[in-house]
Amino acid sequence: MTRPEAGPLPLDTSRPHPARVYDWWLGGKDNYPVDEELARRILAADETAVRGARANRRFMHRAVRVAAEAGIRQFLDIGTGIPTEPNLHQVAQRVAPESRVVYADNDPIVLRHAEALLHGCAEGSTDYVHADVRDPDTILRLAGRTLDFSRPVALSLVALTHYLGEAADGDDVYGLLARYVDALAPGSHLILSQVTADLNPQAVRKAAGLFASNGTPFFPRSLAEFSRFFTGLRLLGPGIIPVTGWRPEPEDVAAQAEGIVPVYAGVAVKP
Amino acid sequence: MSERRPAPTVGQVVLGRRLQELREKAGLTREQAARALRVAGATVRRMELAEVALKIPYVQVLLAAYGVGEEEAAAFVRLAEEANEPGWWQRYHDVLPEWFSLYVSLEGAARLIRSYEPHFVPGLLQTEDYARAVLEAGTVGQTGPEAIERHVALRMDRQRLLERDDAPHLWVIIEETVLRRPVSVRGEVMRAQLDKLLEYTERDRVTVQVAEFAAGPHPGTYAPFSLFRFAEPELPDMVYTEYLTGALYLDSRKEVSAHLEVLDHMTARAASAERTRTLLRECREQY
Repeated sequence: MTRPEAGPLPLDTSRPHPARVYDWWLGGKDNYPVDEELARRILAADETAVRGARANRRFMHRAVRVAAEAGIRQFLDIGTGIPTEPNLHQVAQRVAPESRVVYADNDPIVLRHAEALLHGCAEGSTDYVHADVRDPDTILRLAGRTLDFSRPVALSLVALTHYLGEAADGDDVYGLLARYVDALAPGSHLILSQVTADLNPQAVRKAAGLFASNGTPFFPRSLAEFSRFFTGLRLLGPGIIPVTGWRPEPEDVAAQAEGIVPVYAGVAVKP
Repeated sequence: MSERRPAPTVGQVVLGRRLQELREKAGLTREQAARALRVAGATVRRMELAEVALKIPYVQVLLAAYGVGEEEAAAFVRLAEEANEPGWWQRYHDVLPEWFSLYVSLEGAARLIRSYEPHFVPGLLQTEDYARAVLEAGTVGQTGPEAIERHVALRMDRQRLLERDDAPHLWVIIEETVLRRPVSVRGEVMRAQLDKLLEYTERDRVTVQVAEFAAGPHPGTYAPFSLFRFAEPELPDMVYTEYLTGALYLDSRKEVSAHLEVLDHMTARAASAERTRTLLRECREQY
């Protein structure tokens, strides 16, 4: 008899989970009442939350397309979240069907959703890695089953770094990013977006406080702090900019008219 | 007993709910809405609960009274017309309990079906022989072989769903019991069934996970149930669960959410799709 994979996983769905809160903002149905409640409270504190979630998704689509059109055929997405159409592999494989995509998430429920629902086309491949962003060794090792790190990879952490702190004896978000970037071959792309308090500080601080008091520490970052993630990399135009302004398409231009979204975004290439 | 009316289609159920939502959004009571139609409040109630087919002229008057825009009203009317069409399964009315008609209708309308099956391979994935064996064993004091054959035929007809271009994604969790307890003394029945399951697991739109004995108890150990999700974002998820003499359809946020949470816990604890394929192959060797 094959041995079971692992013992019961610790699962706590009595508290809100950021992936499911995000799912509620995106109009998804894979969230529970506790998630909906927090999503609504944050939305009441910061009326940009729904627009911000949508803008992040659209940024991911545009950035992945740009990377794919630049010839990238390998994608590593950390903090995948609940599947929402179109998903990253669909965007990449629409440009290049042979694209290989690895999704990584630390939540076993989120990961099973990805496994069940995200299937690439036959020419390409998709794989799922159950690991935490704070554990780059594991993520890089397991992603290496599908991706060849001696060739360029597009690494995306979309709306993820604001859940990570900076303390060197804590999450050490800058050290983490450096570890990932070190592992990438020249020509690789880094796709990042995260919440900032630069644009409407009061609402964002309130939202951050709500996340924190519900068990999810939250770290908005200034332009300078966000820019540090791209140290040593060559930013693609237009550089770091509020998310709807990054190479906007008509839908984004329309969204800009609804007001600013307090999220920075940027895409850079490793020289 | 009064004359038997065909069971409501999923479209009727869901549109009925939507009609109720629109009325409540407009701030009208059933009686106030009924006045626009010059009928009794009970008529509006019966439309909302899908106890009667949706009369298109009534629907149009109500939507206008609720202040629904032209475009949405036109879409609603189109859906209502479709919903009133009887489904293909109604030719099985002789053996199809009314409560199960709605299930077949839900199945056909869903984009995603998530099921928990503690006892048997899900109907949509059964072989004909397996279905026959289960139906023979599972019907106490009921109807003869003819009715069983009609049930088998219905089940096989339902399976055409998975061949459609817009087939729903079927994501099921089955108990290890399903693999271990033979439904027939003939080993080939289980072998063929496990082969068919293995074949289905190769498809993108079918996900099977086994809840292994070794993984211990999980929070879903009650009855089989299915959660249906539809393509239209405004339609709520629905949960279907069976008991000995009937079935329940749940669509309140609270109840649906409880089932979703249980499914999510089970899916995280059950064997991955990949490991499930290994288990299926191992079990096949035992028959």
